[in-house]
Amino acid sequence: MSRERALTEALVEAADTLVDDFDVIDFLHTLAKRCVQLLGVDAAGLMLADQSGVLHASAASSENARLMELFELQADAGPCLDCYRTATPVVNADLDTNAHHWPQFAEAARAHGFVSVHALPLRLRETVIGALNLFCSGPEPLGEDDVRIGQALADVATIGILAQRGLEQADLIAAQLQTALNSRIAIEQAKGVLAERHAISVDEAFVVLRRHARDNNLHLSDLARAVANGAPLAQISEV
Amino acid sequence: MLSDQMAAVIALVGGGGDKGVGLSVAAAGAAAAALGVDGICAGVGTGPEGVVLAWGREETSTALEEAAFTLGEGPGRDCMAAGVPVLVDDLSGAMARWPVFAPFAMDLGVRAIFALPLRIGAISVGTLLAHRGSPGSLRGGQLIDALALADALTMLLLRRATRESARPTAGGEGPSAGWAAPVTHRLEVHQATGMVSVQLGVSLAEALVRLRAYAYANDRSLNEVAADVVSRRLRLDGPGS
Repeated sequence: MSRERALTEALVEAADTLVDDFDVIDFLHTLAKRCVQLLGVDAAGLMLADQSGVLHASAASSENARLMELFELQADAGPCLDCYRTATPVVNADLDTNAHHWPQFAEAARAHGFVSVHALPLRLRETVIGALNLFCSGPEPLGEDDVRIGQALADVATIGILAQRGLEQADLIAAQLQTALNSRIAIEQAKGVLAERHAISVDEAFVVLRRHARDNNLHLSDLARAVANGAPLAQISEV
Repeated sequence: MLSDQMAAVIALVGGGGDKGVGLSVAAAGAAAAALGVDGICAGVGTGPEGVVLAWGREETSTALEEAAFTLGEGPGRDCMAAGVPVLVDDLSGAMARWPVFAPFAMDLGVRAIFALPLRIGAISVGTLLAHRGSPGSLRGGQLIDALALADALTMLLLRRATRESARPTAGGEGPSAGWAAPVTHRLEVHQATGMVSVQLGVSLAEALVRLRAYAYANDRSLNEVAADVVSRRLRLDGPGS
């Protein structure tokens, strides 16, 4: 499939989701996966700011605990924090030459096999609400077109966060972000419940949770809340 | 960003330890001023088991909570059910939505009500209700302040709800380090909460409190303890825990 075609499909998929009733974390997870496919990067994730300006990992192209840690480390220092604070993209930042900026993050990212990193702002007018983070293991830099497509996908993510159901006033960014972060937390709690109940890893638990949500046409966050509060997975076919 | 005024209030909430409700009258007054409201209350549970902590116009707060419970409708009920803030700038425009509650609240002299969920992921401990006698929305900064206050009160109420306050703590000082607002917890803390709830057969709320108590008792950070639980180096139902 040509990239143009793939991009068209990704945007159509996003638009289809947004006009429907959708789950925000599931939407961001899909978007992160599309970033990897479309931009030729090796991993992608989204960080959202809470009301105190602290960044939190919200979704990643693969829900892998080690990858999620790379996002968490950036609450203190990292390309996402720089991007968020300056409202400026961080593009093709080499992890060796930038190691002094973010020593802990650079070390962990290199240990993961990444050589460069990028962060594109999630913007809403003058406000930045988070960042789209991209990781590359190869030497090829991200081109101008890649950055433009990446920014377009970041903008789609912003629209998705602001279009979450439940809140009637669309301008309540802080409340929208908090709702998204709480959905993420419920998913983590449910991952823990499933991991313990079935003696599987938390990464595997996410796969189980998402598959059940898909198979039964449930919102990932709704399912997560029910599971986290003790409902057996097999018995949840509607929430 | 959070206002300095609310940051100071939240420091007081966190530092309240086990004494009283953790929010002094002065701090509550400052919180209400920051939010531009007349009264604030936090409701936990409903009915005879419910607890309502009220500051400012207490009798109004209590009447609003009771009405919501008796009538089964209102911004607090909707907020609790959907898990999202319900912000009502002017009750006179909400007669269709809450045909019994809205006129009742207006009779009490309330025109604006803001209900925020007190929630950590799937754990719900109640709602924060702020009310004002004049119509008008929360401004952007006030909403941020309200969300931060809700986070701080969530932890406070969680401790009360799980009777942690009944447990003696060394030196009479409540845990302070690491007792940050729930959203600043690392993802592993929430995963560990889920795991511990299964290990001990308790609710998520109880599991989170147990994790924090374990960290405190062993002089370790919550993040470290959570990492040990997730990597299965530690079980809270094991010997010595």
